[in-house]
Amino acid sequence: MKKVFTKLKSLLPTKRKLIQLYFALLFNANAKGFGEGTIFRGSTKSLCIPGLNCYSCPGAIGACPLGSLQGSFSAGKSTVFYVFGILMLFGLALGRTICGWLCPFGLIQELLFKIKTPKVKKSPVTRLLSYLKYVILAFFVFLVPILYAFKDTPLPAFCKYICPAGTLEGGISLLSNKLNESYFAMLGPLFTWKFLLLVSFVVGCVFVFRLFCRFFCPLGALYGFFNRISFVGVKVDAPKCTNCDLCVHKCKMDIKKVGDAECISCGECVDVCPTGAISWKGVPKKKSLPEDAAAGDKKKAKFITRCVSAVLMIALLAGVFVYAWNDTGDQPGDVSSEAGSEESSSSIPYGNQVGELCYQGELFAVDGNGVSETAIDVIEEGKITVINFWGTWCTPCVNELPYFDRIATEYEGSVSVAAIHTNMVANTASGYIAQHYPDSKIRFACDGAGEAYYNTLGGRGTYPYTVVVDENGVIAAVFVQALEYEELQEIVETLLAD
Amino acid sequence: MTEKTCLRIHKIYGILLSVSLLIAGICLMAGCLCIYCSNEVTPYSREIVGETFGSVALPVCLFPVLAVLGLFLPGNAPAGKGKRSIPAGMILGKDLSALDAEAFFAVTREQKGRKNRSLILLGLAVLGSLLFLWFALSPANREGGDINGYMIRCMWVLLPCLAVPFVFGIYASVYNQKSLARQWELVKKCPALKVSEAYARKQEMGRRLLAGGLALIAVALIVLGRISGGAADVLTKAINICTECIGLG
Repeated sequence: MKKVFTKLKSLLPTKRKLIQLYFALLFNANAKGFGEGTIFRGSTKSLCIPGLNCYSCPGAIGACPLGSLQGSFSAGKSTVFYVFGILMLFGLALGRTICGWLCPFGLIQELLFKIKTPKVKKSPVTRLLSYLKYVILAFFVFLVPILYAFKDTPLPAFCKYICPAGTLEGGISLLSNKLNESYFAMLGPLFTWKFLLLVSFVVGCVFVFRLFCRFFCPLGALYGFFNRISFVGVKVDAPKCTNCDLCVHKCKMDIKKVGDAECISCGECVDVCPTGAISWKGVPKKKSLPEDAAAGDKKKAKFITRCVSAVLMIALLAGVFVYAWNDTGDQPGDVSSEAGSEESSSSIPYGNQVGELCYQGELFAVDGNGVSETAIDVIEEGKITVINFWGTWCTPCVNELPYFDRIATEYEGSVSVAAIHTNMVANTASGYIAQHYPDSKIRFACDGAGEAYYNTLGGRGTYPYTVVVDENGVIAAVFVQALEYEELQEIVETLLAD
Repeated sequence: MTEKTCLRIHKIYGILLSVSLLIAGICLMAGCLCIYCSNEVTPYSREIVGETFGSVALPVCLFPVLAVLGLFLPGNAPAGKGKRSIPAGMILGKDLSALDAEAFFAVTREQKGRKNRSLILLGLAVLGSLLFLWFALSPANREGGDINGYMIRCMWVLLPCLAVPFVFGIYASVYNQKSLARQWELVKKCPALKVSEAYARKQEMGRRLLAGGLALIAVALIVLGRISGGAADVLTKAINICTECIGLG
């Protein structure tokens, strides 16, 4: 019985694990999102969370700092300042303590490492490999997005080609929900590559401690620059240190000394130091009771402090869960009362599925001079209408616009193409249109408040989103993926032949 | 059950678990590749994915079952017994003034050799970076709208640019370890260098000032960015699913 109890006690999580789990739950408090297969759309998503947590995760209530950083290069100076400022503040406040205590993906890696297989120990080779993350930071997070930002094409290269957190937390979470059946049509070579990469990382993390953190994570690389000057973390008291390097030997990360750019401030070295030279910086020292206080009083004080801390943290977590559950941010699929009030006079009902009548939309036109006060009817009577929902911040949207432009030009008499920009940041559309599509036959418009028309036509938060309506106003096809010219041409030719 | 038997059980279990994990990983990858290579226009669908991964469910599910069984193994897993490498800090932290002339010269020569190898490694890394940048930034390689093609070409060029310094780095690391072992034999009896408290306090003050200054800049950037609408851009990106960013493409 005693052996069983000892075994169970050894399985209990440490304080650091509990804190990691707590923050993983806090940053993914939108439990409703997993059930509905959509992402959280509340205003807290304008704030970045410190760790690596994809904002396309159904549970995420904050933005991913890396995704926001890459997106900011094509958005403008103000966004770059905002995201850089947040990253600097996190780095200065906590440094890589974020990696060791707050990052949800770090928690996943540590849990995988607990599986009892033989492990790959750190060596000079792993020390060398730890520089790879700086290469990834420089190339995928900075160079490529900035290069493509000059071409007005947003390209979050790290998110798109490498990030396993996005594939696991975002992609697979959304695909596993039955309501997102249509997403399977999008999958192709990119998903195959990222799935293979994800499986490699997951398998690798079982054998190598924090494989992704040590060798691939550009966020860790960024925070590492601030590690020595951060307010919170572990520090070495140089006068007491005898350079025995027991701490370096004990550490599972590729540090050269405690507190350098590789140190995640897990605190495992604090107890190992024979001279007590390693301590925490920025953490207030415990106020101890007087020497002659009874042991019972000391125990009581410790118990009360722990209870109060636990209650406060649980209250905060519960509060965030309740906020996310009740948030009335615009959820995809909500039918707007403005666009959805028409009644069908024929036997075909109005709706957003193939075979149903498409709701008409009256939206404000957008041109090179901005959003005009003239409203246009999205669906033109007697013509095939291709309605494309897009955004200047969306890479595949921007890449497929030339195909829509070509269709609009080649089938001018019989096909009308309406490209509807998101209501949010609609001001970016006019400059983009003026520069790239000044004489286009596409009818550009801006969606209503809360992306009303997009929601009415069944959009679930993904962009681009294309609805093809025939001459009778009936929905002929709905696409959630980016389209090639040939695919568009095929559907148009089919409808024209009918 | 003796301790030796327990250790043996743990060792066999560890090997079994590793093999089952690798098999599970290979099955998942093979399943995904099978679906992708099925030569259809839209290869993926819920039914096909369910069918394909269902056929490899047994080997994949074997791994978590074995992992859970590991909780009930008797005794403790063997503690790792690695050869302890000598970090450079142990040598640098020694006061070399206590050494005789010959030993001092030997240690200095070894340290110089180490510095030279680091410089060569740095040089190779810089050269590789410049070569790669020249390729990545050259307009001829970025022509056309094919982003994926550009990224693949860049990866092919990046591999040798990384591989050469990496291979040299492994050679340098192995040689450095041998050099450090030789130095340690000479310096292990020397006293440790003491850092004065005043110097340590001065360093700490400098770090705090730098951190404070940067924090003010960070706050100013956040305020400026927020006022100019940067937060709205972040919100837009975060509340709409970027399908390519999560691998749906």
